Amino acid sequence: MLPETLPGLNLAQALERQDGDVAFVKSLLLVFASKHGEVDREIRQALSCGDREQAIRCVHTMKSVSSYIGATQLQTLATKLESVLKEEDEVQLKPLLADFSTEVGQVMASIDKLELEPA
Amino acid sequence: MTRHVVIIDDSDIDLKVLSAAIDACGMRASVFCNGIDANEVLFGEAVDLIILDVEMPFVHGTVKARILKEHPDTKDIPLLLISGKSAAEMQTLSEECGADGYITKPISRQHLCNTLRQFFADDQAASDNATSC
Repeated sequence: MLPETLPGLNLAQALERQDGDVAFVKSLLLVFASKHGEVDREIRQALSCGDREQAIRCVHTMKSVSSYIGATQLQTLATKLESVLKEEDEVQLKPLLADFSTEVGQVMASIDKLELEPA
Repeated sequence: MTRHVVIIDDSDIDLKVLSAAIDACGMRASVFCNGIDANEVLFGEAVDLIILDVEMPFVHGTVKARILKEHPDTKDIPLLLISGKSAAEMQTLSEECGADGYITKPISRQHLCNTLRQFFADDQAASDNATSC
């Protein structure tokens, strides 16, 4: 069983996309935690190296990845961030990236909490 | 006969979601995180469908699609682009690179199954019509 929602995660939506396969959705959450938990840092690093294309790729990947785990707010922020990066809107970039980092932290905390709960 | 679908996508979670959906609808999936690694299967095995992500490092999905659609060994394998881009953008990209269609992310397991079954049914009907002419 999974709770329907946790902060940052709409698990009911994630489950619906995977025909109610709880074990599979849990495995997606674990992949997210192990492979994408530092995505905001990777984006910042790419930008600091002047590699905007890499930053855009990271954010673009996050759009679909976040949707599959039910991280709806993260998906919204990733969509906005991708636009801001493509438009080179430096004014919007900093606050949006800060919001994005906060949301990644929220999602990671929820996955952590879920992992500690008995199966 | 079990349909063999090759998926090329640089996102681990997308690959996992797509391959699970293909398994669930009774087809076989071979998954690759880039187009170059997929060549051994694409040029060495019978493949019924290619699902190709657009935004990939090194070789962009549309570039890979053009390569496959121009090569005599792979030009007849149906190829669907997949991306989180809008349907309008995907329609344009598909036409430009010669893809046979597109899928927009995110996609549910059920929706992907339905899409693929419909795609193969249409493909079979077109093939039957061509044979009867």
